Amino acid sequence: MFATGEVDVLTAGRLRASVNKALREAENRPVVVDLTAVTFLGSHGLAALADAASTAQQRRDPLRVVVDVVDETPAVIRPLQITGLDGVLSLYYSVEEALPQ
Amino acid sequence: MLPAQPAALSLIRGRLRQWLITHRWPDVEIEDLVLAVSEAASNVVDHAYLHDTPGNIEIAGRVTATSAGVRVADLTVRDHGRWRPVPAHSENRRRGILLMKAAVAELVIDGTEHGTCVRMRGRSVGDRGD
Repeated sequence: MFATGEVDVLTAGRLRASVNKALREAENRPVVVDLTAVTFLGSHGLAALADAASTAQQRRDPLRVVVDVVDETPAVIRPLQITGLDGVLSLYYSVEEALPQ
Repeated sequence: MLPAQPAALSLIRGRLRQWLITHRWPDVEIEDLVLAVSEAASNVVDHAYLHDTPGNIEIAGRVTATSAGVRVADLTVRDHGRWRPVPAHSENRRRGILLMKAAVAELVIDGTEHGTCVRMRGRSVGDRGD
């Protein structure tokens, strides 16, 4: 699945719902969340990602998050680094890399 | 000044970004200031008017030349709701404050019975946008 635009208090619920749906339907296949077209990621979006990571861990379904190379999307990578979520989420730099072989 | 509603946040970010571009602010600093102000305003939407009539968010910004070739941006986000201490279980708000602290050089959160004022000073930048 992929997200576009701004993820804030208004829109984080949609990200949360989409990721949860994907995890429910995953049946142990990896779920790939593409954030390369996200232009803003605030604390509500970070909470949605952190909760999704812990749900995925409980279900033992891999959750893979795709971000652009560091310099291209500071709007996404900066908040992940500041809050330490870059160490919790499995980050990939392209959808191809994140998809199972 | 905007109503403290979730839809206001995108407007706030857009206007702040535009204002900083007009002042030839560096891109990386724009992203950090937008993040910090958005989180402060998001706290207002989430908490300030919880049990009161919804009020406004007031945002003010000023660019000052501090010394030869150096400029700073001061931003304040103010509400007239009630200050609430950070609850221990509020991971969201804890993350919000963490983001604000990391994104600016100085952060002062002044909470009173009559509202909260978040004062932020960004990192200094050159006078040519470097």
